[in-house]
Amino acid sequence: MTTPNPIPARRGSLVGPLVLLLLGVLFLVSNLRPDLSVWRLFSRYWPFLLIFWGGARLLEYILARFTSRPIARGLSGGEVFLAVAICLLGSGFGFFERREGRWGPFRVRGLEMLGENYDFPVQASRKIPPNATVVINNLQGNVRVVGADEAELKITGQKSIRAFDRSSAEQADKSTVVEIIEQGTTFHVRTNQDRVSGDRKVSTDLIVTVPKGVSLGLEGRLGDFDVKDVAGPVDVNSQNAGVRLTNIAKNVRVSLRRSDIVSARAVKGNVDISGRGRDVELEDIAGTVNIDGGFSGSIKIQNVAKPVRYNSTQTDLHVEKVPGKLEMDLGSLTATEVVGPFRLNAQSKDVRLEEFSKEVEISTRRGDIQLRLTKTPLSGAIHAESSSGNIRLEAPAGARFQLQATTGNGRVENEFGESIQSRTQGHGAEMKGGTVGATPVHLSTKRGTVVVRKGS
Amino acid sequence: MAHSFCGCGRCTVGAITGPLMLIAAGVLFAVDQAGSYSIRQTWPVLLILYGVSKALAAIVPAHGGR
Repeated sequence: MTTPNPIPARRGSLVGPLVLLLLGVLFLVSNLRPDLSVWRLFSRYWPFLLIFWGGARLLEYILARFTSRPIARGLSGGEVFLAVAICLLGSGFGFFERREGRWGPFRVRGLEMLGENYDFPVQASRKIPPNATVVINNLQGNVRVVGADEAELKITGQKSIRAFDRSSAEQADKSTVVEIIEQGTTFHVRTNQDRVSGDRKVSTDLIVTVPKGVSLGLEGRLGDFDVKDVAGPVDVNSQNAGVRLTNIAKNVRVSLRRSDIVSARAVKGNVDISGRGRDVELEDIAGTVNIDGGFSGSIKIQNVAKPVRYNSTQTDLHVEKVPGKLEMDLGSLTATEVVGPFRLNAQSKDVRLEEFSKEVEISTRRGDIQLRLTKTPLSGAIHAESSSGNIRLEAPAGARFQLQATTGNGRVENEFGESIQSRTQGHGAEMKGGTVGATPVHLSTKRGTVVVRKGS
Repeated sequence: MAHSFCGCGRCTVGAITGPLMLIAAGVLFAVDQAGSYSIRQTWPVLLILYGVSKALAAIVPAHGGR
Protein backbone atom coordinates (compact mmCIF):
# COMPACT_ATOMS: atom_id res chain seq x y z
CA MET A 1 0.00 0.00 0.00
CA THR A 2 3.02 2.29 0.19
CA THR A 3 5.19 3.74 -2.49
CA PRO A 4 7.11 0.78 -3.92
CA ASN A 5 10.79 0.18 -3.51
CA PRO A 6 13.05 2.11 -5.80
CA ILE A 7 12.75 -0.09 -8.86
CA PRO A 8 13.25 2.27 -11.77
CA ALA A 9 9.68 3.20 -12.65
CA ARG A 10 10.07 3.23 -16.39
CA ARG A 11 7.77 0.59 -17.70
CA GLY A 12 4.67 1.97 -19.36
CA SER A 13 1.73 -0.03 -20.57
CA LEU A 14 2.13 -2.71 -23.23
CA VAL A 15 -1.46 -2.50 -24.42
CA GLY A 16 -1.26 0.88 -26.14
CA PRO A 17 1.60 -0.19 -28.41
CA LEU A 18 -0.23 -3.44 -29.13
CA VAL A 19 -3.30 -1.54 -30.33
CA LEU A 20 -1.05 0.56 -32.53
CA LEU A 21 0.49 -2.61 -33.91
CA LEU A 22 -2.92 -4.07 -34.68
CA LEU A 23 -4.00 -0.93 -36.52
CA GLY A 24 -0.77 -0.99 -38.52
CA VAL A 25 -1.36 -4.60 -39.57
CA LEU A 26 -4.94 -3.72 -40.49
CA PHE A 27 -3.85 -0.87 -42.75
CA LEU A 28 -1.16 -3.01 -44.34
CA VAL A 29 -3.45 -5.94 -45.05
CA SER A 30 -6.11 -3.69 -46.53
CA ASN A 31 -3.53 -2.10 -48.81
CA LEU A 32 -2.04 -5.39 -49.97
CA ARG A 33 -5.25 -7.37 -50.22
CA PRO A 34 -8.12 -4.97 -50.97
CA ASP A 35 -10.40 -7.93 -51.66
CA LEU A 36 -10.44 -9.01 -48.02
CA SER A 37 -12.59 -6.01 -47.04
CA VAL A 38 -10.78 -5.57 -43.77
CA TRP A 39 -12.35 -2.19 -43.40
CA ARG A 40 -15.82 -3.58 -43.36
CA LEU A 41 -14.80 -5.78 -40.47
CA PHE A 42 -13.20 -2.84 -38.74
CA SER A 43 -16.20 -0.58 -39.33
CA ARG A 44 -18.42 -3.18 -37.73
CA TYR A 45 -16.38 -4.33 -34.76
CA TRP A 46 -14.16 -1.42 -33.81
CA PRO A 47 -16.03 -0.53 -30.57
CA PHE A 48 -14.93 -3.90 -29.20
CA LEU A 49 -11.36 -2.84 -29.80
CA LEU A 50 -11.92 -0.06 -27.29
CA ILE A 51 -13.57 -2.42 -24.83
CA PHE A 52 -10.72 -4.94 -25.04
CA TRP A 53 -8.19 -2.20 -24.76
CA GLY A 54 -9.84 -0.84 -21.61
CA GLY A 55 -10.23 -4.34 -20.20
CA ALA A 56 -6.59 -5.16 -20.88
CA ARG A 57 -5.43 -1.95 -19.22
CA LEU A 58 -7.58 -2.73 -16.22
CA LEU A 59 -6.16 -6.24 -16.03
CA GLU A 60 -2.68 -4.89 -16.35
CA TYR A 61 -3.35 -2.51 -13.50
CA ILE A 62 -4.71 -5.26 -11.26
CA LEU A 63 -1.72 -7.51 -12.02
CA ALA A 64 0.69 -4.68 -11.33
CA ARG A 65 -1.03 -4.04 -8.06
CA PHE A 66 -0.72 -7.64 -6.93
CA THR A 67 2.94 -7.86 -7.84
CA SER A 68 3.44 -4.26 -6.71
CA ARG A 69 5.28 -3.46 -9.87
CA PRO A 70 5.38 0.09 -11.11
CA ILE A 71 3.03 1.01 -13.90
CA ALA A 72 1.84 4.03 -15.77
CA ARG A 73 -0.86 5.89 -14.00
CA GLY A 74 -4.01 6.28 -16.08
CA LEU A 75 -3.86 6.84 -19.81
CA SER A 76 -1.00 8.73 -21.35
CA GLY A 77 -1.58 11.60 -23.73
CA GLY A 78 -0.59 9.42 -26.68
CA GLU A 79 -3.08 6.76 -25.74
CA VAL A 80 -5.91 9.26 -25.38
CA PHE A 81 -5.02 10.57 -28.84
CA LEU A 82 -5.06 7.06 -30.28
CA ALA A 83 -8.43 6.30 -28.67
CA VAL A 84 -9.98 9.47 -30.05
CA ALA A 85 -8.51 8.69 -33.48
CA ILE A 86 -10.05 5.21 -33.40
CA CYS A 87 -13.43 6.67 -32.42
CA LEU A 88 -13.34 9.19 -35.27
CA LEU A 89 -12.16 6.61 -37.78
CA GLY A 90 -14.66 4.01 -36.64
CA SER A 91 -17.71 6.22 -36.41
CA GLY A 92 -16.70 7.79 -39.71
CA PHE A 93 -16.78 4.42 -41.45
CA GLY A 94 -20.02 3.47 -39.80
CA PHE A 95 -21.36 6.69 -41.19
CA PHE A 96 -20.15 5.89 -44.68
CA GLU A 97 -21.69 2.50 -44.56
CA ARG A 98 -25.07 3.68 -43.39
CA ARG A 99 -25.47 6.72 -45.56
CA GLU A 100 -23.54 6.08 -48.65
CA GLY A 101 -23.75 8.56 -51.39
CA ARG A 102 -23.24 11.59 -49.26
CA TRP A 103 -19.50 11.49 -49.22
CA GLY A 104 -18.57 10.27 -52.65
CA PRO A 105 -16.73 10.40 -54.85
CA PHE A 106 -13.63 9.29 -53.03
CA ARG A 107 -11.07 6.90 -54.30
CA VAL A 108 -9.28 5.14 -51.55
CA ARG A 109 -7.94 1.67 -52.06
CA GLY A 110 -9.77 -0.94 -50.07
CA LEU A 111 -12.67 1.29 -49.20
CA GLU A 112 -15.28 -0.32 -51.39
CA MET A 113 -18.09 1.57 -49.74
CA LEU A 114 -16.79 4.71 -51.34
CA GLY A 115 -16.63 5.31 -55.05
CA GLU A 116 -19.40 6.77 -57.16
CA ASN A 117 -23.10 6.15 -57.49
CA TYR A 118 -24.50 5.20 -60.88
CA ASP A 119 -28.25 4.98 -61.36
CA PHE A 120 -30.05 2.71 -63.81
CA PRO A 121 -33.77 2.43 -64.50
CA VAL A 122 -35.59 -0.81 -63.75
CA GLN A 123 -38.52 -2.10 -65.73
CA ALA A 124 -40.32 -5.42 -66.05
CA SER A 125 -43.86 -6.63 -66.41
CA ARG A 126 -45.89 -9.76 -66.94
CA LYS A 127 -49.51 -10.89 -67.05
CA ILE A 128 -50.34 -12.98 -64.02
CA PRO A 129 -53.56 -14.55 -62.68
CA PRO A 130 -55.43 -12.29 -60.24
CA ASN A 131 -55.03 -14.68 -57.30
CA ALA A 132 -51.39 -15.65 -57.85
CA THR A 133 -48.66 -15.54 -55.22
CA VAL A 134 -45.99 -12.89 -55.69
CA VAL A 135 -42.71 -13.23 -53.85
CA ILE A 136 -40.33 -10.28 -54.02
CA ASN A 137 -36.76 -10.81 -53.01
CA ASN A 138 -34.65 -7.68 -52.74
CA LEU A 139 -31.54 -7.78 -50.61
CA GLN A 140 -30.99 -4.08 -50.52
CA GLY A 141 -33.34 -1.24 -51.33
CA ASN A 142 -36.90 -0.15 -50.73
CA VAL A 143 -39.93 -1.92 -52.13
CA ARG A 144 -43.31 -0.37 -52.60
CA VAL A 145 -46.25 -2.56 -53.57
CA VAL A 146 -49.63 -1.28 -54.64
CA GLY A 147 -52.64 -3.42 -55.48
CA ALA A 148 -54.60 -2.41 -58.58
CA ASP A 149 -57.52 -3.69 -60.65
CA GLU A 150 -55.29 -5.14 -63.35
CA ALA A 151 -54.10 -8.60 -64.23
CA GLU A 152 -50.52 -7.56 -64.58
CA LEU A 153 -47.40 -7.54 -62.44
CA LYS A 154 -45.65 -4.29 -63.26
CA ILE A 155 -42.27 -3.27 -61.93
CA THR A 156 -40.58 0.09 -62.25
CA GLY A 157 -37.88 1.61 -60.16
CA GLN A 158 -34.27 2.51 -59.95
CA LYS A 159 -31.10 0.62 -59.38
CA SER A 160 -28.24 2.41 -57.73
CA ILE A 161 -24.79 0.91 -58.19
CA ARG A 162 -21.77 2.08 -56.31
CA ALA A 163 -18.61 1.50 -58.27
CA PHE A 164 -15.34 3.15 -59.14
CA ASP A 165 -16.13 3.69 -62.80
CA ARG A 166 -19.03 3.64 -65.23
CA SER A 167 -18.04 0.54 -67.16
CA SER A 168 -17.85 -1.59 -64.06
CA ALA A 169 -21.21 -0.17 -62.95
CA GLU A 170 -22.73 -1.00 -66.33
CA GLN A 171 -21.40 -4.50 -66.15
CA ALA A 172 -22.94 -4.85 -62.69
CA ASP A 173 -26.23 -3.54 -64.04
CA LYS A 174 -26.27 -6.20 -66.74
CA SER A 175 -25.71 -9.02 -64.30
CA THR A 176 -28.40 -7.82 -61.91
CA VAL A 177 -31.37 -7.66 -64.23
CA VAL A 178 -34.66 -7.73 -62.35
CA GLU A 179 -36.41 -10.95 -63.27
CA ILE A 180 -39.90 -12.36 -62.90
CA ILE A 181 -39.71 -16.14 -62.61
CA GLU A 182 -42.79 -18.31 -62.82
CA GLN A 183 -43.11 -21.40 -60.65
CA GLY A 184 -46.62 -22.81 -60.85
CA THR A 185 -48.90 -20.09 -59.50
CA THR A 186 -46.03 -18.35 -57.73
CA PHE A 187 -44.16 -15.50 -59.37
CA HIS A 188 -40.75 -14.64 -57.97
CA VAL A 189 -39.38 -11.17 -58.45
CA ARG A 190 -35.61 -11.24 -58.06
CA THR A 191 -33.24 -8.32 -58.07
CA ASN A 192 -30.24 -10.67 -58.21
CA GLN A 193 -27.95 -8.41 -56.25
CA ASP A 194 -26.00 -11.41 -55.01
CA ARG A 195 -24.60 -11.88 -58.53
CA VAL A 196 -22.35 -8.89 -58.07
CA SER A 197 -19.34 -9.20 -55.85
CA GLY A 198 -16.20 -7.29 -55.13
CA ASP A 199 -16.16 -3.61 -54.54
CA ARG A 200 -19.49 -2.84 -56.17
CA LYS A 201 -22.66 -2.47 -54.21
CA VAL A 202 -26.15 -2.61 -55.64
CA SER A 203 -29.29 -1.21 -54.13
CA THR A 204 -32.62 -1.52 -55.93
CA ASP A 205 -35.71 0.55 -55.21
CA LEU A 206 -38.82 -1.01 -56.69
CA ILE A 207 -42.33 0.20 -57.28
CA VAL A 208 -44.48 -2.81 -57.95
CA THR A 209 -48.09 -2.86 -59.09
CA VAL A 210 -49.87 -6.17 -58.56
CA PRO A 211 -53.40 -7.45 -59.15
CA LYS A 212 -55.37 -6.69 -56.00
CA GLY A 213 -56.07 -10.32 -55.07
CA VAL A 214 -52.49 -11.67 -54.90
CA SER A 215 -50.78 -13.17 -51.89
CA LEU A 216 -47.57 -11.32 -51.15
CA GLY A 217 -44.24 -12.49 -49.82
CA LEU A 218 -41.56 -9.86 -49.26
CA GLU A 219 -37.99 -10.69 -48.38
CA GLY A 220 -34.98 -8.49 -47.87
CA ARG A 221 -31.94 -7.62 -45.88
CA LEU A 222 -31.94 -3.84 -45.73
CA GLY A 223 -34.66 -1.54 -46.98
CA ASP A 224 -38.22 -0.51 -46.30
CA PHE A 225 -41.39 -2.25 -47.39
CA ASP A 226 -44.52 -0.32 -48.17
CA VAL A 227 -47.68 -2.19 -49.10
CA LYS A 228 -51.04 -0.74 -49.99
CA ASP A 229 -54.44 -2.10 -51.09
CA VAL A 230 -53.79 -5.81 -51.25
CA ALA A 231 -56.61 -8.31 -50.72
CA GLY A 232 -54.48 -11.39 -50.06
CA PRO A 233 -52.24 -12.24 -47.10
CA VAL A 234 -48.94 -10.36 -46.75
CA ASP A 235 -45.78 -11.89 -45.34
CA VAL A 236 -42.72 -9.72 -44.68
CA ASN A 237 -39.36 -11.11 -43.71
CA SER A 238 -36.28 -8.91 -43.36
CA GLN A 239 -33.09 -8.33 -41.44
CA ASN A 240 -33.60 -4.62 -41.17
CA ALA A 241 -36.64 -2.82 -42.47
CA GLY A 242 -39.27 -0.25 -41.81
CA VAL A 243 -42.60 -1.80 -42.72
CA ARG A 244 -45.76 0.11 -43.58
CA LEU A 245 -48.92 -1.76 -44.49
CA THR A 246 -52.18 -0.08 -45.41
CA ASN A 247 -55.52 -1.58 -46.33
CA ILE A 248 -54.84 -5.31 -46.35
CA ALA A 249 -57.82 -7.64 -46.50
CA LYS A 250 -56.19 -10.78 -45.09
CA ASN A 251 -53.66 -11.79 -42.45
CA VAL A 252 -50.38 -9.96 -42.11
CA ARG A 253 -47.16 -11.47 -40.83
CA VAL A 254 -44.03 -9.45 -40.20
CA SER A 255 -40.79 -10.97 -39.02
CA LEU A 256 -37.77 -8.72 -38.53
CA ARG A 257 -34.35 -8.77 -36.97
CA ARG A 258 -34.26 -5.03 -36.68
CA SER A 259 -36.56 -2.18 -37.65
CA ASP A 260 -37.29 1.43 -36.95
CA ILE A 261 -41.02 1.19 -37.51
CA VAL A 262 -43.71 -1.35 -38.19
CA SER A 263 -47.06 0.17 -38.96
CA ALA A 264 -50.29 -1.45 -40.08
CA ARG A 265 -53.49 0.36 -40.84
CA ALA A 266 -56.87 -0.99 -41.91
CA VAL A 267 -56.12 -4.69 -41.81
CA LYS A 268 -59.10 -7.05 -41.98
CA GLY A 269 -57.18 -10.13 -40.87
CA ASN A 270 -54.80 -10.89 -38.03
CA VAL A 271 -51.53 -9.06 -37.48
CA ASP A 272 -48.50 -11.04 -36.29
CA ILE A 273 -45.27 -9.21 -35.62
CA SER A 274 -42.14 -10.87 -34.34
CA GLY A 275 -38.55 -9.80 -33.87
CA ARG A 276 -36.92 -6.65 -32.66
CA GLY A 277 -37.24 -3.01 -33.44
CA ARG A 278 -38.31 0.36 -32.29
CA ASP A 279 -41.81 1.69 -32.91
CA VAL A 280 -45.00 -0.18 -33.67
CA GLU A 281 -48.18 1.52 -34.82
CA LEU A 282 -51.38 -0.40 -35.39
CA GLU A 283 -54.72 1.11 -36.24
CA ASP A 284 -58.10 -0.29 -37.28
CA ILE A 285 -57.34 -3.98 -37.12
CA ALA A 286 -60.28 -6.33 -37.46
CA GLY A 287 -58.39 -9.47 -36.42
CA THR A 288 -56.15 -10.40 -33.54
CA VAL A 289 -52.82 -8.70 -32.86
CA ASN A 290 -49.84 -10.70 -31.76
CA ILE A 291 -46.52 -9.02 -31.02
CA ASP A 292 -43.64 -11.20 -30.02
CA GLY A 293 -40.20 -9.85 -29.28
CA GLY A 294 -38.56 -6.67 -28.16
CA PHE A 295 -39.70 -3.31 -29.42
CA SER A 296 -37.89 -0.56 -27.61
CA GLY A 297 -39.69 2.47 -28.97
CA SER A 298 -43.30 3.43 -28.58
CA ILE A 299 -46.08 1.02 -29.31
CA LYS A 300 -49.40 2.53 -30.31
CA ILE A 301 -52.44 0.38 -30.76
CA GLN A 302 -55.77 1.83 -31.73
CA ASN A 303 -59.13 0.30 -32.52
CA VAL A 304 -58.54 -3.44 -32.52
CA ALA A 305 -61.65 -5.61 -32.57
CA LYS A 306 -60.05 -8.82 -31.33
CA PRO A 307 -57.55 -9.85 -28.64
CA VAL A 308 -54.19 -8.10 -28.50
CA ARG A 309 -51.19 -9.98 -27.16
CA TYR A 310 -47.75 -8.55 -26.50
CA ASN A 311 -44.98 -10.73 -25.30
CA SER A 312 -41.41 -9.72 -24.54
CA THR A 313 -38.84 -10.63 -21.92
CA GLN A 314 -40.04 -7.71 -19.82
CA THR A 315 -43.72 -7.53 -20.49
CA ASP A 316 -46.64 -9.85 -20.94
CA LEU A 317 -49.87 -8.25 -22.02
CA HIS A 318 -53.25 -9.54 -23.04
CA VAL A 319 -56.23 -7.34 -23.84
CA GLU A 320 -59.51 -8.72 -25.12
CA LYS A 321 -60.33 -5.69 -27.27
CA VAL A 322 -59.04 -2.19 -27.79
CA PRO A 323 -61.91 -0.01 -29.01
CA GLY A 324 -59.98 2.98 -27.71
CA LYS A 325 -56.24 3.44 -27.52
CA LEU A 326 -53.28 1.74 -25.93
CA GLU A 327 -49.81 3.23 -25.80
CA MET A 328 -46.78 1.60 -24.36
CA ASP A 329 -43.06 2.21 -24.16
CA LEU A 330 -40.29 0.72 -22.06
CA GLY A 331 -41.38 2.54 -18.91
CA SER A 332 -45.08 3.09 -19.17
CA LEU A 333 -48.41 1.83 -20.43
CA THR A 334 -51.43 4.04 -20.90
CA ALA A 335 -54.74 2.74 -22.15
CA THR A 336 -58.12 4.37 -22.65
CA GLU A 337 -61.29 2.47 -23.41
CA VAL A 338 -60.08 -1.07 -23.37
CA VAL A 339 -62.17 -4.15 -22.79
CA GLY A 340 -60.95 -6.86 -20.47
CA PRO A 341 -59.94 -9.35 -19.44
CA PHE A 342 -56.90 -7.07 -19.32
CA ARG A 343 -53.87 -8.90 -18.02
CA LEU A 344 -50.47 -7.28 -17.63
CA ASN A 345 -47.36 -8.70 -16.11
CA ALA A 346 -44.45 -6.30 -16.30
CA GLN A 347 -41.04 -5.77 -14.78
CA SER A 348 -41.02 -2.05 -14.54
CA LYS A 349 -43.87 0.05 -15.84
CA ASP A 350 -46.10 2.88 -14.78
CA VAL A 351 -49.57 1.76 -15.72
CA ARG A 352 -52.54 3.97 -16.34
CA LEU A 353 -55.92 2.64 -17.36
CA GLU A 354 -58.89 4.83 -18.08
CA GLU A 355 -62.50 3.93 -18.82
CA PHE A 356 -61.79 0.23 -18.95
CA SER A 357 -64.37 -2.50 -18.63
CA LYS A 358 -64.46 -6.14 -17.47
CA GLU A 359 -61.70 -7.77 -15.43
CA VAL A 360 -58.31 -6.17 -14.90
CA GLU A 361 -55.25 -7.95 -13.60
CA ILE A 362 -52.01 -6.01 -13.27
CA SER A 363 -48.78 -7.06 -11.66
CA THR A 364 -45.57 -5.05 -11.86
CA ARG A 365 -42.27 -5.19 -10.07
CA ARG A 366 -41.76 -1.47 -10.08
CA GLY A 367 -44.12 1.30 -11.08
CA ASP A 368 -47.28 3.14 -10.17
CA ILE A 369 -50.69 1.85 -11.09
CA GLN A 370 -53.55 4.23 -11.80
CA LEU A 371 -57.04 3.03 -12.58
CA ARG A 372 -59.58 5.64 -13.48
CA LEU A 373 -63.29 5.30 -14.20
CA THR A 374 -65.44 8.39 -14.48
CA LYS A 375 -68.49 7.32 -16.48
CA THR A 376 -68.24 3.58 -16.77
CA PRO A 377 -69.33 1.51 -13.78
CA LEU A 378 -67.05 -1.20 -12.43
CA SER A 379 -67.88 -4.24 -14.53
CA GLY A 380 -65.29 -6.79 -13.50
CA ALA A 381 -62.94 -7.76 -10.73
CA ILE A 382 -59.77 -5.74 -10.32
CA HIS A 383 -56.51 -7.17 -9.13
CA ALA A 384 -53.55 -4.80 -9.04
CA GLU A 385 -50.25 -5.44 -7.37
CA SER A 386 -46.89 -3.73 -7.41
CA SER A 387 -43.73 -4.60 -5.52
CA SER A 388 -42.81 -0.98 -5.35
CA GLY A 389 -45.16 1.81 -6.38
CA ASN A 390 -48.32 3.70 -5.60
CA ILE A 391 -51.73 2.39 -6.50
CA ARG A 392 -54.67 4.62 -7.12
CA LEU A 393 -58.23 3.72 -8.02
CA GLU A 394 -60.65 6.40 -9.05
CA ALA A 395 -64.28 5.33 -9.43
CA PRO A 396 -67.61 7.14 -9.83
CA ALA A 397 -69.25 8.19 -6.57
CA GLY A 398 -71.96 5.55 -6.81
CA ALA A 399 -69.60 2.71 -7.65
CA ARG A 400 -70.14 -0.51 -5.70
CA PHE A 401 -67.22 -2.76 -4.96
CA GLN A 402 -65.75 -4.81 -2.22
CA LEU A 403 -62.30 -3.55 -1.44
CA GLN A 404 -59.26 -5.14 0.00
CA ALA A 405 -56.16 -2.98 -0.14
CA THR A 406 -52.82 -3.31 1.58
CA THR A 407 -49.47 -1.61 1.61
CA GLY A 408 -46.45 -3.09 3.34
CA ASN A 409 -44.80 0.25 3.78
CA GLY A 410 -46.81 3.43 3.30
CA ARG A 411 -50.25 4.78 3.94
CA VAL A 412 -53.77 4.35 2.61
CA GLU A 413 -56.34 6.97 1.65
CA ASN A 414 -60.07 6.46 1.30
CA GLU A 415 -62.73 8.80 -0.06
CA PHE A 416 -65.57 6.35 -0.01
CA GLY A 417 -66.70 6.99 3.55
CA GLU A 418 -67.30 4.73 6.47
CA SER A 419 -68.20 1.58 4.63
CA ILE A 420 -64.46 1.16 4.11
CA GLN A 421 -62.29 0.84 7.17
CA SER A 422 -58.62 1.70 7.30
CA ARG A 423 -56.06 0.71 9.85
CA THR A 424 -52.31 0.91 10.09
CA GLN A 425 -50.24 -2.19 10.44
CA GLY A 426 -46.56 -1.86 11.25
CA HIS A 427 -45.05 0.43 8.61
CA GLY A 428 -47.95 -0.27 6.31
CA ALA A 429 -51.69 -0.04 6.29
CA GLU A 430 -54.82 -1.82 5.14
CA MET A 431 -58.28 -0.91 3.83
CA LYS A 432 -61.26 -3.22 3.82
CA GLY A 433 -64.96 -2.99 3.21
CA GLY A 434 -67.41 -1.60 0.68
CA THR A 435 -70.49 -3.34 -0.59
CA VAL A 436 -70.64 -6.97 0.43
CA GLY A 437 -70.92 -9.27 -2.54
CA ALA A 438 -70.14 -6.53 -5.07
CA THR A 439 -67.26 -6.63 -7.57
CA PRO A 440 -64.06 -7.55 -5.74
CA VAL A 441 -61.16 -5.09 -5.90
CA HIS A 442 -57.72 -6.13 -4.67
CA LEU A 443 -54.98 -3.54 -4.50
CA SER A 444 -51.67 -4.38 -2.94
CA THR A 445 -48.19 -2.89 -2.89
CA LYS A 446 -45.14 -3.66 -0.82
CA ARG A 447 -44.01 -0.06 -0.77
CA GLY A 448 -46.17 2.93 -1.65
CA THR A 449 -49.46 4.66 -1.06
CA VAL A 450 -52.82 3.10 -1.88
CA VAL A 451 -55.64 5.52 -2.65
CA VAL A 452 -59.31 5.00 -3.48
CA ARG A 453 -60.92 8.15 -4.80
CA LYS A 454 -64.30 9.33 -5.93
CA GLY A 455 -64.08 10.46 -9.52
CA SER A 456 -65.85 13.56 -10.62
CA MET B 1 4.77 8.73 -19.43
CA ALA B 2 5.50 6.27 -16.66
CA HIS B 3 4.88 7.27 -13.11
CA SER B 4 5.72 5.21 -10.11
CA PHE B 5 2.69 3.45 -8.80
CA CYS B 6 1.26 4.49 -5.49
CA GLY B 7 -1.45 2.40 -3.89
CA CYS B 8 -3.39 5.23 -2.32
CA GLY B 9 -7.06 5.72 -3.10
CA ARG B 10 -6.51 8.74 -5.29
CA CYS B 11 -3.93 7.00 -7.45
CA THR B 12 -6.18 3.95 -7.73
CA VAL B 13 -9.08 6.06 -8.97
CA GLY B 14 -6.75 7.89 -11.34
CA ALA B 15 -5.32 4.66 -12.69
CA ILE B 16 -8.60 2.93 -13.46
CA THR B 17 -10.49 5.96 -14.79
CA GLY B 18 -8.83 5.81 -18.21
CA PRO B 19 -9.43 2.12 -18.87
CA LEU B 20 -13.01 2.38 -17.59
CA MET B 21 -13.68 5.37 -19.85
CA LEU B 22 -12.29 3.36 -22.78
CA ILE B 23 -14.61 0.47 -21.99
CA ALA B 24 -17.57 2.81 -21.58
CA ALA B 25 -16.81 4.51 -24.91
CA GLY B 26 -16.55 1.09 -26.56
CA VAL B 27 -19.88 0.00 -25.11
CA LEU B 28 -21.62 3.23 -26.14
CA PHE B 29 -20.34 2.94 -29.71
CA ALA B 30 -21.30 -0.72 -29.84
CA VAL B 31 -24.79 0.19 -28.65
CA ASP B 32 -24.84 2.92 -31.28
CA GLN B 33 -24.08 0.35 -33.97
CA ALA B 34 -26.65 -2.06 -32.64
CA GLY B 35 -29.09 0.72 -33.38
CA SER B 36 -30.87 1.09 -30.07
CA TYR B 37 -29.36 4.36 -28.85
CA SER B 38 -27.27 6.69 -30.92
CA ILE B 39 -23.97 7.98 -29.58
CA ARG B 40 -25.43 11.42 -30.12
CA GLN B 41 -27.88 10.64 -27.34
CA THR B 42 -25.59 8.74 -25.01
CA TRP B 43 -22.33 10.73 -25.03
CA PRO B 44 -23.15 12.53 -21.74
CA VAL B 45 -22.59 9.19 -19.99
CA LEU B 46 -18.88 9.67 -20.63
CA LEU B 47 -19.04 13.13 -19.11
CA ILE B 48 -20.83 11.76 -16.07
CA LEU B 49 -18.28 8.97 -15.66
CA TYR B 50 -15.43 11.44 -15.87
CA GLY B 51 -17.13 13.73 -13.36
CA VAL B 52 -17.74 10.87 -10.97
CA SER B 53 -14.11 9.78 -11.13
CA LYS B 54 -12.92 13.34 -10.55
CA ALA B 55 -15.27 13.65 -7.60
CA LEU B 56 -14.11 10.31 -6.21
CA ALA B 57 -10.49 11.32 -6.57
CA ALA B 58 -11.24 14.49 -4.63
CA ILE B 59 -13.02 12.65 -1.82
CA VAL B 60 -10.75 9.65 -1.44
CA PRO B 61 -7.72 10.28 0.78
CA ALA B 62 -4.30 10.54 -0.82
CA HIS B 63 -1.15 9.24 0.85
CA GLY B 64 2.36 10.03 -0.11
CA GLY B 65 1.54 13.65 -0.80
CA ARG B 66 1.68 13.88 -4.55
